[in-house]
Amino acid sequence: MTQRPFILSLEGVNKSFDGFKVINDLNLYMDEGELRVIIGPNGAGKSTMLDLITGRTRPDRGTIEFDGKWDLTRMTECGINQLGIGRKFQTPSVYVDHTVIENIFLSLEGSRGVWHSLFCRRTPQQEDRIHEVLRTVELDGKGDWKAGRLSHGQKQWLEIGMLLAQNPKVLLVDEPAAGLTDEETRRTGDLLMSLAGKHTIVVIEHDMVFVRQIARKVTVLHQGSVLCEGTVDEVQENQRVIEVYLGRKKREAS
Amino acid sequence: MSRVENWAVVAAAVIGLVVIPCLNAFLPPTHWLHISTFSLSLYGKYLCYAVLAIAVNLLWGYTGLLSLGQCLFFSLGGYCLGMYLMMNISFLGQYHESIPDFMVFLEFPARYPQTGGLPPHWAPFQHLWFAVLMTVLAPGCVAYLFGFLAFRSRIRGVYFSLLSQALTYAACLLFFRNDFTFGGNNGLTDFKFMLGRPSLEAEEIHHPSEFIQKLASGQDRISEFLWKRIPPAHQGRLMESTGAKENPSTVALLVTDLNKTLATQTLYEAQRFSGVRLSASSQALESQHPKDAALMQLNRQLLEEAFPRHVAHKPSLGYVVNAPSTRRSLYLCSVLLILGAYLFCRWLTSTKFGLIQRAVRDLENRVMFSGYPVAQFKLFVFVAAAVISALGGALFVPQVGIINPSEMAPEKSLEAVVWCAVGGRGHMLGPILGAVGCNALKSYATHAFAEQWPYVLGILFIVVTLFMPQGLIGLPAQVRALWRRQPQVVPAPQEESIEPPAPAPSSGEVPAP
Repeated sequence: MTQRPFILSLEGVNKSFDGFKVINDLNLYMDEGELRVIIGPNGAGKSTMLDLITGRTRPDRGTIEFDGKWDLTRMTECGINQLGIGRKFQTPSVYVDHTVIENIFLSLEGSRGVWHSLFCRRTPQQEDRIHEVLRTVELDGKGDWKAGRLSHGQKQWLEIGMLLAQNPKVLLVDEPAAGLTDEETRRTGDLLMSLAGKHTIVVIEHDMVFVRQIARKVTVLHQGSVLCEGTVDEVQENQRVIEVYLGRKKREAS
Repeated sequence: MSRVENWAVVAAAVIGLVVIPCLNAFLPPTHWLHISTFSLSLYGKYLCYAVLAIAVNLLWGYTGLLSLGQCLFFSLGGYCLGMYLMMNISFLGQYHESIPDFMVFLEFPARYPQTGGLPPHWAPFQHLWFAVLMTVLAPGCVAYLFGFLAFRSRIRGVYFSLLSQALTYAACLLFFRNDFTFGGNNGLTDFKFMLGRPSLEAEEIHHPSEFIQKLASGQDRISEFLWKRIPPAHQGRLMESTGAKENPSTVALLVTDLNKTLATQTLYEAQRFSGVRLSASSQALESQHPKDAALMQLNRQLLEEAFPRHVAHKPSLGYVVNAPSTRRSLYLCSVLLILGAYLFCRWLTSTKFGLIQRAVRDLENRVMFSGYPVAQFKLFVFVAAAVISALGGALFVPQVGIINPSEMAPEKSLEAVVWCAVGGRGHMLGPILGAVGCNALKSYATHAFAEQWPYVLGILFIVVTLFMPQGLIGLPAQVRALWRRQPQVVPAPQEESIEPPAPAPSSGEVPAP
């Protein structure tokens, strides 16, 4: 292990809703530039974990640290975002009434103040950056479209583009392949892999083909804590993982 | 913004600023195109309501904040300017006192003996600059405080609406109370002057002792007339003071008594003024046999001319609130105000702020998770909308002639929301169209079938909500779409819930053992 602090570390995190333990003594450490895939059956607490990191909900116990010096449990959503933690939601969350360019423009890194927003103009550098992002997510011909006109897959990509525009240190991506065609899924995988290294990426995913494509290290969550960690093959051969998934399958079949 | 909209605005501005005032000012009342001063003030009232609707639209149509208490800010603005107008009634009230009638009626002199019955917070409102400042500050501060608490606690949607309605209802009940010093349920009314007043002020009397002696001597018939109208008890006190050093309280006594005479008597009589050289303006005014406020202006002028050595010349005797020329100016101010409000909102929505505003409306969570402090953005819009509403309210009051707590009753704010929906929210011109249209309809309907008016308004709201989601302003596009027999492409507003339950993993997603 290097001396560098983890970019993101969750230690002993607990969270329960109405007495039901959703996150149970969760420990998770992320190295800078890492691409981590998180899998787990429904209700394993995957999305809740993202909520905890982004400040949407607060843990009952435990610490969540960013870059070794920021205690995320004490910060607001927008404060956490400004540290450089971007989040893509499960369903595409884009501003349907804004054009694609405006969607990206609102996500560009820079001041988030009220007064600034009243008097700022789009600079040529920002225009360049917007088009660079649009090229990355293959939407450069559709800049003036209302985002509501885009297909589901394009909306997913636009949202990834919005994350990129912020140039975040950490990207939290919740089910990027949901509802995509096989071809779109493959290209999404390529995109995420090309971003790894520059950004630290956490991907939550169900689609095992997709997981196999992108994953170097997989973390399996079960009942709010880490079941095991390792490569895709290691995880798939892990006896406890098989039990969890097969047990579930048996129950569903009955 | 479309070119059609630009041309519509320019045309409306020309009609509002030039055509209508000219039809009022230059055509004889018998002409069929003549617009009466009453109608002009009615239009002014519609425009003030339209300013309110613009504010509601800025909140509801552009930010997704449905405020059901916007009339509170409208009324607060109205009250601030109303207080200024009340402070300038200058002895023309029913009681002919220096303080407004309701203060006499509610026995304020016993409550505030040091100021002669005037509550201390009323005094600065005699200055227009202060009243206008408060028109902006008071509603702005209330909105800031309420918005700060509500948005910090993340109160949204229907809870925000209910809370805003509760706020205006609470304020309404507060203003109904007589001891709240704002006129109770009668509110503020019976306005006379603005931008000046004809009443005599203490510092406008030069050489008071000499002036009192001159009045008491009865050498001329004006002095005699004025002295007779001073109560005997006061006469004694005034005479006593003439030898001694000038005492402010006796000057105040003299000024009050003279003002009462100016307010109640007809000073001019040919014989009485036979020895006085009257100015042309006084003669002209006298020939019209003025009454009430104009009469007091004439009286003041005559007093100055009869006693040039003792009574200072006042350059502005104020404008009579009910005079046609004043009404015309107020109407013009309303047109300018609505133009200003429209241009401000248009500018605001064209900035990055406007983009964020609409993003908050459509998908608040995304904005928050993009690092924007959403509460601050909402707070800014809420305060801006409050100030816009208040300015509308301030111009509403002199044109309608009354402001009372019923103006901040919850149903008034609901009406404003209906105007917005009928006209077309989320569009710049929609609410203006809706407010003017609905109020014109109301003016007609409350004449023709007063009892049924609430039903008409309700049905209108339902019809528009069900069949015209874009309001009147979206009707042409809707008709065009029908004409082409194509379903209109309206992007469905995305719901707040960003994360529906995850799909159950199918067998294909299970890792192979």
